[in-house]
Amino acid sequence: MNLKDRMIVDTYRKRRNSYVAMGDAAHQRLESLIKESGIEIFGIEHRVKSESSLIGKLNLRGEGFHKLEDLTDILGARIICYFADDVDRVGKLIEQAFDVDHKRSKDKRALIRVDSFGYLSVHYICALPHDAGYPDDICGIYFEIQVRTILQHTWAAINHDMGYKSEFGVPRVVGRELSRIAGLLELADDEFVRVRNTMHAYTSEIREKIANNTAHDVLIDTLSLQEYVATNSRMTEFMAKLAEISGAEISEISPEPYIHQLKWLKKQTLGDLSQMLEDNWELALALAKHSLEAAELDILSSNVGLRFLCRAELYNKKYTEEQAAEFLKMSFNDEARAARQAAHLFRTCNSLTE
Amino acid sequence: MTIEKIVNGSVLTMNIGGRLDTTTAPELEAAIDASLAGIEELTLDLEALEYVSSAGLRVILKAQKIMNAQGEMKLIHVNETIMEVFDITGFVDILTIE
Repeated sequence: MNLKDRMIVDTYRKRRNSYVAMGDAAHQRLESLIKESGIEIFGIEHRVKSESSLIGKLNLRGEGFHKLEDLTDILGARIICYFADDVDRVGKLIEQAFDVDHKRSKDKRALIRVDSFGYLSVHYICALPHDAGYPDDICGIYFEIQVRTILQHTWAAINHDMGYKSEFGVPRVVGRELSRIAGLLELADDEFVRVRNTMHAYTSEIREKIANNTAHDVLIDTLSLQEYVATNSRMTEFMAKLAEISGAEISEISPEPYIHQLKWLKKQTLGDLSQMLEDNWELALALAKHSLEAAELDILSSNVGLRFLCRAELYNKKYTEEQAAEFLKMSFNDEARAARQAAHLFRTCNSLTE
Repeated sequence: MTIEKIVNGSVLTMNIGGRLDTTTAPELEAAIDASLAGIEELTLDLEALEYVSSAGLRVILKAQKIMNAQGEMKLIHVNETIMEVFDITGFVDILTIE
């Protein structure tokens, strides 16, 4: 190693703790940023380059670096997104929260040739800003934040694991295969964005139909059921009455467990569900009062309405106790408990309807 | 309320006994907050738990939310009284009870 490189390594040893502190601060800053934005991501990771890795890099390409600050990947952070269009959204957040060196930052997506497929990632060269309350010794020092999708990350990680850190030196036959896979994953990334957008459009459509009272033929699935419980006026009125019983707050959870239960009760559409609501309103409310009045529970799940409606349906539509036990086994996964609950339910309904 | 913790790598079992109510729930919350880093599997053994109030339920739900992000959580040896609380509030649907 020449004198210049030895001095770089020496500086690294003296400043390593600062880089570790900078990494922790940058990681927390990124976490808060992403959390506030509401963008769901796969993960954030960071690392400080090891001394051996630094020496390896200096041995390979040391002529390009005159001092430690010339190396912008002593600290590296990575944000892995689910969707390709979130990469740019996250990028905008990074530009707002860090001092970004645009000259040295690279968008690998823009650099790749139009007729080839390969590494795609956006590399921001950033520093913690001086005016954000961080100690001076960790501000103004540039490091790298990579932003990529989970599929891009998979490709890059496998590529790297196979020993190919750059396109140079990759055997032609392997290079072609890796390009093909990169192309496939790029298509998959686009398809995931399309599927997500389709889901958003479907949710908006369902919401509008429920608001206009034209959702009778909409099939029950997790999305349509969630929207129904949250926005159908009669259902929200019913939920408000349940919450009133003990002054409870309603905590939203996925209604997915009720898809199977409603299908068991032969409810296929939101129209079927609306009819079930009207048919069982009184008994369901009475059952809820019977259970909740004395219990003093001030938190209920958003599925509680479906719970009492299903139980009222079992009684009102004259299912047998055995059938009710079979139904309740879907909640309890315990035959004996389900049987006891079915017997208790029918006893309670008998007393409430006398 | 009593809390006994048994850690085995990334697996944590918490045996909770007594009453989980407004006065004791903060203690369980603090114990959970202090213990879940790096845990991928959390089991709450409620065999000795006699009673749970809304406050206790909220702490259990908070633990479930944390574990949803980093692994899994289950409740074991749940007695009928406590099962009733999970059931009538509708939270039985999101808790894994064995």
